[in-house]
Amino acid sequence: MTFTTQLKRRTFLRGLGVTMGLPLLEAMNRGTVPLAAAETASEVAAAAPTSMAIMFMPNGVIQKHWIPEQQGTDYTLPQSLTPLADFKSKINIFTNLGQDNGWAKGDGGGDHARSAATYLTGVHPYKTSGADIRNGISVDQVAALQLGDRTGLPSLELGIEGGRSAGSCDSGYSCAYSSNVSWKTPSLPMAKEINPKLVFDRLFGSRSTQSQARDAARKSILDMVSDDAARLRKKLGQTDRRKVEEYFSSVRELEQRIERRQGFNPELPADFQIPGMKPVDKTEHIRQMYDLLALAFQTDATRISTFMLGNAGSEQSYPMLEVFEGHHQLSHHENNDDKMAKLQRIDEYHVTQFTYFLNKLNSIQEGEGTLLDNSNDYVWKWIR
Amino acid sequence: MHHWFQRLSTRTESNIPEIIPMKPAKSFDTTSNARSFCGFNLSWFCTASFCLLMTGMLQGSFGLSALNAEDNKQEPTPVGKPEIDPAIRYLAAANEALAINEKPAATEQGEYAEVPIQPIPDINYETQVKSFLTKYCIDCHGPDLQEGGLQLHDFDSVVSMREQRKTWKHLSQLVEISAMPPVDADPVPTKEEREQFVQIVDLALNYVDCSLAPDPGRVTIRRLNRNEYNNTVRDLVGLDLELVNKFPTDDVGEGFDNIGDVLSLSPILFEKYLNAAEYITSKVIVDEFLYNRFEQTWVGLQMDNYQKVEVRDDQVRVFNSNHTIQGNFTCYQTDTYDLVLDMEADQAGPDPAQMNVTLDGELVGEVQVKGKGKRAPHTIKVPITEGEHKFAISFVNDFQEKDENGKVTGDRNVRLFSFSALGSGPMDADKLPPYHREIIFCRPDEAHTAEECARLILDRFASRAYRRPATAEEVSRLVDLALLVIQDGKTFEEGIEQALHAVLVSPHFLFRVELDDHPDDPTLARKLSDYELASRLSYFIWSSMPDEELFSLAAKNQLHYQSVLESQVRRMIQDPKADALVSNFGGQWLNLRRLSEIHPDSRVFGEFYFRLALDIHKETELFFAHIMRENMSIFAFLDGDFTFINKRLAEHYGYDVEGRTNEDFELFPLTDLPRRGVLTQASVLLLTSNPDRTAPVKRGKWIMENILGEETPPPPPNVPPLEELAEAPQGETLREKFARHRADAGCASCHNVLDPLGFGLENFNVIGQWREKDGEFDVDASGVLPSGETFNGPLELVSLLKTREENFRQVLAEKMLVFATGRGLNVYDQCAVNEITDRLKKNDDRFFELVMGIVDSQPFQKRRGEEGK
Repeated sequence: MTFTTQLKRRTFLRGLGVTMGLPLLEAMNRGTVPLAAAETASEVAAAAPTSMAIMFMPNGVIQKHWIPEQQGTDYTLPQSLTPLADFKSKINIFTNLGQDNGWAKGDGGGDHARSAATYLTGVHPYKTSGADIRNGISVDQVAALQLGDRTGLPSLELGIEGGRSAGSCDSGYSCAYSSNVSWKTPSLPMAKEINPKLVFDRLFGSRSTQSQARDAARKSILDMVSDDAARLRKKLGQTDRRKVEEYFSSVRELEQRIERRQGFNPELPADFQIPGMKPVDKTEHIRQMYDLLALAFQTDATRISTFMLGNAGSEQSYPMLEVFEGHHQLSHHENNDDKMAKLQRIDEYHVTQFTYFLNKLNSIQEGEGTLLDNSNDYVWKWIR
Repeated sequence: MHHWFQRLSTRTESNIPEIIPMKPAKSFDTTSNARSFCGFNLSWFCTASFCLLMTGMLQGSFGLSALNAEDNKQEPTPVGKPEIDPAIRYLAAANEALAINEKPAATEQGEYAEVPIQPIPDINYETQVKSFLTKYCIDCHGPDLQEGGLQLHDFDSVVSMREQRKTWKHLSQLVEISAMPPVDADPVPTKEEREQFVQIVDLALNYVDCSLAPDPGRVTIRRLNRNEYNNTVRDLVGLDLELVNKFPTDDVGEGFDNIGDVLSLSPILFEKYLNAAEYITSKVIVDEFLYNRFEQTWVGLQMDNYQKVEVRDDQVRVFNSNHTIQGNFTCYQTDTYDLVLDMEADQAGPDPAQMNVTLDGELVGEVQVKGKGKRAPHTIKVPITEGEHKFAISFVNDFQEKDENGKVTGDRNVRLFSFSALGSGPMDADKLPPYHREIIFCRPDEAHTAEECARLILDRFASRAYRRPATAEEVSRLVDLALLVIQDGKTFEEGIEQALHAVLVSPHFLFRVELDDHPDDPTLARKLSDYELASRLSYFIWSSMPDEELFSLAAKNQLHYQSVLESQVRRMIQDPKADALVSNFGGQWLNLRRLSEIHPDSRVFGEFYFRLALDIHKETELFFAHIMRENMSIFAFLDGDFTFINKRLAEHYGYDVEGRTNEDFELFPLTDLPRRGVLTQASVLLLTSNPDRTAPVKRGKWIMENILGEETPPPPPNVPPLEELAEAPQGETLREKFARHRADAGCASCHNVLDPLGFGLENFNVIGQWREKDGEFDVDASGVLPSGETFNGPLELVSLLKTREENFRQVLAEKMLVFATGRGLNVYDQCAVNEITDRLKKNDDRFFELVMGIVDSQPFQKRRGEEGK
């Protein structure tokens, strides 16, 4: 591995399993849960690949039920985190983290768009609904740049809601900011996949017997069109050139993946059900995505993933929790008890689904530990 | 130089008849014949527009071959030549006649003209701008403090202001609405000082001299967005494969999803293009020599019976109770077919779910689907004779389990993912479906080598895909690719497929390329070539590639003649493909696309459901399409006294209509009803509401932005939204709540306009139904604008809005110009917008004049190099 300084920091994270980040805007007076006893797990981790999944939940949380009151290892899980009880020893909770660049800084409204845009980039996004989107490179893509060449997919972007297709999404911010947390370059968000079947195809679609022949055929096509792009590029103005360079690098990435894939032909677990199109039931949808994420880690199809449980400012409702209002609208709760109770149920619901994922990872043996021991998963809720 | 159409026409005459007898030559002229020609179960997956298009394409190419033959003084090949419909000859001749006596206007194509430098307005920065800043702003936004990151002391001229246009625009808005300087600042400017400052900034930023030769601007190379991609593939291969949902939604800029600067191409997207290319050829090219059999698959909406069997994700048919879907099947060859149903069921009760398949009314198979969610293919073998057939698939044993309390504990349902017919083959070459023969119109035989055929096929396909003649070199490389595959022991078809994949992921296909000699010189502008113009027209009005008629006019360099252009635009608007302008422009201008994301609170509006959501969307689209095709005044959008409803919508709105079905929407006059135009349609009313209550601010904002074209600035910094104001006193109406909000000076300046506009629509609830009461309170739909004008209720509001006719013309012209050119507007574009609005005004504001005004505009017809950054 090449990024040694980060690696040293990661070694302390490694084996600790789950980390939960909590942006808070007070002074840093609550410490982190110190290193838990995870010696054996981290030894295992040295052999097995480490994976990283980052979740994004929109519209903030009810902090009162999210932030533990105590520091150290001996703390009481707050209401919204109670589903995690079984994993308490594998969790770190960090508080007092915040993205300063999520503040308006003179740009006026648009906190929701900014929350997603700054989440993994730390960069203050340029306020525009059009031509000139500009953000930073996100942390998962930095990781993918370093580690992505070891797996079939450098990174996997998942979501529950599709990108909005009309209008500026939030007070003059382009929809690109609200519907993506993963940014490959400052102007190129990584579009996420919300359809379980298409995620599966993307991960494993090429395992079939004809895939070898197809890869070979594809390579000859890619050779040809990258040549087309190179010729075209020379005749263009600078902005057009940038657009064609995006094309060019996408072709290159696919070429490299085909090369890497030769030799990647994982066995799928016998009981794994190949998912269908997007389920109507939200819980089922979220769980299928978590299943796929676990499968991707298990088969080492990718090691880096982001998962948006809703777009920034999402108006999803949660009828199964008796929450019929839109989530975002509800989040302007005016300290109304009823609204806060509903929001808390949504928070707890997502933690429950997240726990489902942890259980899944924990049930999969890898070396002497479980897949969970070798993963770093972050849930990070944003609230302004 | 030989145009590719000339090459094509030679081919059409000499090659096609020899290789594929074009039997149905007689079927060009009537709908019923067109149906039989489109052949393969048109009613299942060809939309009406597709069929017209398909025949249009053939008409075009044959009509064209006739024309080009005359151009070249060649004798048409008499033997085996398809008969040309006299009407088509006439049409072509008429075009020719029109074009012949006309000289192209203004700059010749291919010539570059200087774009003059716009003068800087005569403003004294020191006395007219800086003095204001020094007095009121610099303390907080200067060398000592940079509140909000804003520093103003570095500006020294109008030029420096223009370099940071956004900053200045925002700043001037805040000054205008008295949000800056803050109220507690000392001193604060007088009203007159504010107005004067705002005026000067406006002049500094926006002054443009329209008497100079106009700047056409620079469009960034545009990737096809997902709708354009889908339509282009449909028109290119002659088969609608419904590819839209295989692609992620495109990013939106300037309110539209076809903006070159914003459309990006990520690796995931490129991979999808490659997957789609393989999928397309697998559907279109029948590789009988490899598989020795014919295959066709239907999913989702391609299967008939829209109303009763739910479609999910456009792909899956969900049978919740006993229902039947059906369709027509054109069998090209008598054979024993495998009919494959890809299904899963929810087991409930003792029996597995049963599906019955009938062919021409006769039961041919009973399929039992076991288990819960176990998706699997179920195959029945059925002999089918050549010709047209009807078949039907029925769910026959719906079942519900209930416990003693009557609660449903189990529900037997079936989901059908796809239905396929696979022949056992081999197919006779002349019985292959038309879309296959359109592409592979030549096969190697004694007369033609594989290379010759590949060259003919790929030249034609690449030229259509790239929307301009493919170069000889491009074609040669494609031919080499195909030959490599063939030499590797694969079939001719497989070789061609491989080359088609390369075309379908080529940057020349995925991007709309317009090449310049001086791409980095912003001072040189040129008129578009006719091929470029053809694409601009077709993507503007059809969101798709040009058809053969546009191509043929481009090949002859006649498209840019004014009368040709006008008659083409008229023709294009009447073509069913122009529905794309309704859904892509209209859908985004009016924000209709957001409808699918809005879910009214099911406790309050339980009656609102999936179908109704589709219906209200369709109502507005039909309304738009009617104004477009009937060439009505654009003001009908505001006050049109008609709409389109089906039975469900009639019930929804509470209209008493006899004998109407849910399938057919019909025009419905609103004469004595309190509804006019789009503002009072459920679609717009719903998308400007919160899930559980109306949102007058959203409605007001929608009117401001989409009807009046006034950009509402975001709330000034540090102003709390309505919800975060102090606890509302009990028993306060929404209106009173808003009034409290407006008491804040920072909010008042905007909300004094937004709120009354929105409250004017308070008689309509979240889902657009009429109401007299909001909860316990009587609805008060009256309002006063800051100008002192008053109104009461939706009809008076609409009349008032209509008096702002200049605003409406301008907003529509601007938005459509953005959509048509695929870029945001710049200062210099106001000259073009002025010309369009003048033209509208002089021509009764007819819709055609709007479209034609845009087509005739400089930004649409010309381009220039890019300024350095």
